[in-house]
Amino acid sequence: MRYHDIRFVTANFHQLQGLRLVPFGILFIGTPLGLMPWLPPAVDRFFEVMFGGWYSLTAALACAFLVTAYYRRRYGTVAQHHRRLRNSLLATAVVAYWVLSAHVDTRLDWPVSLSSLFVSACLFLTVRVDGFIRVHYLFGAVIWFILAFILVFPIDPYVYVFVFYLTGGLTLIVCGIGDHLLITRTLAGTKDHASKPTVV
Amino acid sequence: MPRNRPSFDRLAALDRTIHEPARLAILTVLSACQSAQFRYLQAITGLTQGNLSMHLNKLEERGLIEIEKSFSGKYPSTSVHLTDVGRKAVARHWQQLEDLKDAARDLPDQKSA
Repeated sequence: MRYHDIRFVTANFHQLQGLRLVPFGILFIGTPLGLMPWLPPAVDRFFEVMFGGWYSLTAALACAFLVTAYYRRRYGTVAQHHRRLRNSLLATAVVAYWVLSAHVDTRLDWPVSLSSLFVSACLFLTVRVDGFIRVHYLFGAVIWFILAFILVFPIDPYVYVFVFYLTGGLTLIVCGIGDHLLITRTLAGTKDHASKPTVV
Repeated sequence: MPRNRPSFDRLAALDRTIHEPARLAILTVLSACQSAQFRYLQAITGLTQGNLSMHLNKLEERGLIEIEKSFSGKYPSTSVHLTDVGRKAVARHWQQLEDLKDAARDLPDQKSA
């Protein structure tokens, strides 16, 4: 029995319920399909685009809600310790990304995207949180690192938007499924060992 | 083997209530959170309902855990959490295991291997 694994999964049980991220990943990948150059400009299809986006977001939220219910029904719930430092770090990271993408990247006009580099660094740091290695976050870190330098090459803005959303969507899907597999494998692995002993 | 005697004494001194693998798993899970539902403990230990209940009763009798039964809507819900005594006991147990591991490394046979 791997006690370190069950400690990690228990301490981060809600954060590891990764299937909740998958609908949002699909939404990210689907978003630029409505903005492809062969379609009429989005401005001419304002209501179509707005309602399409609204319905897709609602569907993703509904799916995430159902997935949460699945985890609760399948594994029960855990009341985790309050981790103020982690929550503060997450909030800081979100604000920092917003500042970098909305203000710094647009003003500097560099071929390197600092906001993408920031996301890559955050994902890289997540690979080894609490001394537990989650290799799937390395995939996200690598593709965001590549995305940060993609503007070095002459690239069509439509293609860049498509690649940006594709990267975001793939990151959510891969990291989400990776975390979900971590839960299922840890629980299954524990089951193999712990079902043998009986009351002493 | 008088030189190894202290290690064996420490091994014998381990609390058997805690050291049993399923109970150690339960206590380890509970030490990583505020409380956990019965269903989660069942999922993570792979024990049957009856067997898990017996383990939990033994731990509760020792004052290591507290069991709270409630209803969420129409459905009964059982949540379990460590007591202060239990939290200290689990920490001490893991420390004892670490000490034993260190002591085992110092055994002459281990060094020659």
